[in-house]
Amino acid sequence: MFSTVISGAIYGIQSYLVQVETDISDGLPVLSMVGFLSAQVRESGERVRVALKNAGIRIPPSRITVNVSPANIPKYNMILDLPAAAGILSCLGRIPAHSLENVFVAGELGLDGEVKPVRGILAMVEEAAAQGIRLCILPAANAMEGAVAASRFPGMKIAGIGHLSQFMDYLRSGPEERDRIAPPFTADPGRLMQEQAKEQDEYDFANVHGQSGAKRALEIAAAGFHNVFMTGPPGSGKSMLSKCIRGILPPMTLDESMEVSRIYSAAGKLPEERPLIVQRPFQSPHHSVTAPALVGGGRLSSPGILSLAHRGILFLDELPEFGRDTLNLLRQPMEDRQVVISRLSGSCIYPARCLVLATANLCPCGNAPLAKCRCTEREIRRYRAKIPGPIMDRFDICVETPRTGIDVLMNPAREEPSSAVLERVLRARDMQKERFRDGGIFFNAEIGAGEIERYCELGSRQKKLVRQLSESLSLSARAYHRMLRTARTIADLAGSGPILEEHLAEAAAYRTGAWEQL
Amino acid sequence: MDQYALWLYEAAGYSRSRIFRLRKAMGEDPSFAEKLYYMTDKDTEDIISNIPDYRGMNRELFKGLALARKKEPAAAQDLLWKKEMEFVSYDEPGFPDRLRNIPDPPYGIYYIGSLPDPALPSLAVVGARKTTPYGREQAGIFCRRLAGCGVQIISGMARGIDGIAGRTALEAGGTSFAVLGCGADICYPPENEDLYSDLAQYGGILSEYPPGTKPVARFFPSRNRIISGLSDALFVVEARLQSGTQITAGSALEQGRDIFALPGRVSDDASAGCISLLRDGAYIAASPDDILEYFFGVQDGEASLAGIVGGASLDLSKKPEGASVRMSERKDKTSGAAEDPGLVQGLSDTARAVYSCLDTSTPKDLEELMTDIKEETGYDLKPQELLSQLTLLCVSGHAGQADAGFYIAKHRLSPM
Repeated sequence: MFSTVISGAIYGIQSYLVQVETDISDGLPVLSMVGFLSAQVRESGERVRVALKNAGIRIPPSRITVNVSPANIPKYNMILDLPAAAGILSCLGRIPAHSLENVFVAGELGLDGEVKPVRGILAMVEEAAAQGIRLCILPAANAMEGAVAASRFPGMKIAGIGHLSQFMDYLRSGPEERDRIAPPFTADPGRLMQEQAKEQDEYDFANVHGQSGAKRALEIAAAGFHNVFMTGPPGSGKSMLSKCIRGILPPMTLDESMEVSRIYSAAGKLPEERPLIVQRPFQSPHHSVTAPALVGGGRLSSPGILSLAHRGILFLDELPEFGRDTLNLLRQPMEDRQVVISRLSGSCIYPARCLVLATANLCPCGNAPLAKCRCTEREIRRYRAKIPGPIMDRFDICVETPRTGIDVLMNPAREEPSSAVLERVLRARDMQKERFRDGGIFFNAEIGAGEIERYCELGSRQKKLVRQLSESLSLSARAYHRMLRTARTIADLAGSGPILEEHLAEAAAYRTGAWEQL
Repeated sequence: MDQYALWLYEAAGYSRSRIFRLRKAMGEDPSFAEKLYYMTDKDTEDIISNIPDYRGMNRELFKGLALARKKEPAAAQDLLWKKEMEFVSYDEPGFPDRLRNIPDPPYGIYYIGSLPDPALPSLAVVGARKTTPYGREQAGIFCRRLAGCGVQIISGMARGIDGIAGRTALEAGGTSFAVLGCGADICYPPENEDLYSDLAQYGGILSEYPPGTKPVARFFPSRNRIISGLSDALFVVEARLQSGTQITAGSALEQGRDIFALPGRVSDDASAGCISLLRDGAYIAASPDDILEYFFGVQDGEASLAGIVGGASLDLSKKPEGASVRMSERKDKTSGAAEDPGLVQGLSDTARAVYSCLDTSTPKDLEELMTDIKEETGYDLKPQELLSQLTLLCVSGHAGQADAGFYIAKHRLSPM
């Protein structure tokens, strides 16, 4: 007796479908699981055996072989429970043989037969739909997630199962019965996005007094998705401003949402009731974070915090306090906007297109450049050297948050609310959408060195100014590119097609060299 | 090089007091070192026993000399030459005359490069290690001009003012010398490595200590006396009260050198030492011309560049009569921004408004500037407008960043 059912496994955030083949033959009683499986995956066998027994199914003594095809891909991260149980049930004739044809099955089994959720369902269901599968039987807890994935494929049905016996009933029944046993799940991502977007963020620019320079810098960053480095004494509002930036980022598109949700699904962080990430992620790791936790990796090649911040903000407070090794690991991802984790079994690529927002004090005691600062020049230099040059190079915008005077703090005048800033940011975004219609990028910050000429054209007067700026401010090639990208966003915010001198001059003010000077 | 003097310096444990006492005991004979080398133990003992008030050291000195006689003086000399170093001792003609006349002269000086030219004027420039942007800027302005006029700049190559003095002097095509508190072959502090190699090539690096001596705190006051000793006058750029720089000023006074001090703000710690010196009678150095006048006198109301190289001083053809005339001529000849209309020509109205609210000593941040500009000129600038104006002012030399995000006014740094 032989049966086959379709299931899925994940590698990194990639999912792929597998065929789970089951055979029951004569021979010494054994349950053998093959197909380049890791020890954890093979544990499924124990759970399946007990769950079946507790569901009232007696397995006659025989040689049971479960094979996961394709056999040349190593499977470390896969829950084989429900598919294997389905295969055995089919071989034993307890469920009709054809009931598993072209059906996707996934789920973990508790020893009592309960069907528990697994990771990565979103990507798996998308893959299944693409392969023409029309029915996915998922753990009930994953059903909404599956429904979101299936929303783009009208012919796909999602069934949520809570127990092994329910599973068997479902497969033994006809179509109408089935819908009664496990009502199909549907989801409307559009509505989901609208609902969540209505939630108000309590961090509004209107609540921050003063800091007009920093606010302007964050506006530019949000418009062009540029990385920002904020420096200033403690208590100057760096953390508060950083939380405000969420309120001025344009909302995610459905595509971006799905991208982010896929990553969260693979990391097992997708909330059950709301399996679609609608708000841009905001990740704020403590500076004691380890390198694999930040960038990704570890034994199971799980996504790191950097990837969980994809399409959102990675907030690194007190950047010099992060270990130098950890910071150096950020270098490549910040450049390539993805993380490549290589293992013996292969490499997996995690996207990491996020806005890095970092803060730091200007000196070890934090008070610089106020007179209160008692640090020696050597101490300051050593402190500032903690951030490797190549990392500083990746920040397009460097802005200072000086201590706000008491007059400004007490000033009753109303500050501009985030919504007003967001309007301008959205207009600038529209210009970028138009500009990058055919290219592979979305924001000005992604413009590479080779495309600067194309997207940041300058007139002769502007070129003259750039030459002057380069010389008197000793700009490196990288700094020059940074300045142009930022100027492009500044021009977009001003609604200007060409980049003008004042845009260039302002962009030059955000150069990062000031951090390295003393 | 007098190889016997070199030999003796090492033999006596590099102690100038021992050596000078020996020299005195031998009747201040210029060739006493050579004689000592060839002297028998017995004769040496006689000489040493005649040194008054020195009995405690006698045994040591005798043993030291006896032991050292086993070495070849030429060997030590060759070793030095291999390091491209030279040594000049008190009795040699090449020994700086200025150093001969100080109360506590060194016996010998190791050096790389050259020694200051006795025919050219030389100025010691010293100051705090922890400087202000004002001090750094003025040190550069003064040294560039003075060195460009042929004044030799002597300093300690320390962090802060010393380093800037040496660097800017060389940049202006002049010569500069550094006296170190360690062996001349050691670059201390390491941050000034580039200056060290430039000085070795275009000036000189001097030390009283033998090669290989590591820098130690107690060597520094001692080397400071050599800095002022090699110069005709001392210029103090910035100093805190009771600082090392103040000690150098003390040495200069002992040596009978004139002292110039740069005035600063009375509220600035870094200028407190200078103000104290001025109060005690130091000359005020408000512009490089003040010091140039001291060296070269005055011609046509201004110290002129011509005819200075080679040591020829200028004719005092038009000497101002009386202090009152002097005062009126000297007015406005400071190196500050003042109200020079030429500086702000060519700036747009907005730029002028921004520039007028910048201060040459107090760095201001964006927020403060926006408030000041609004109050004083009525312009209500948005942060982006202010930022772009500031950048343009930085480019044109009117302004600069004192530290990240803090701006100060500078005057145009073109040659005056």
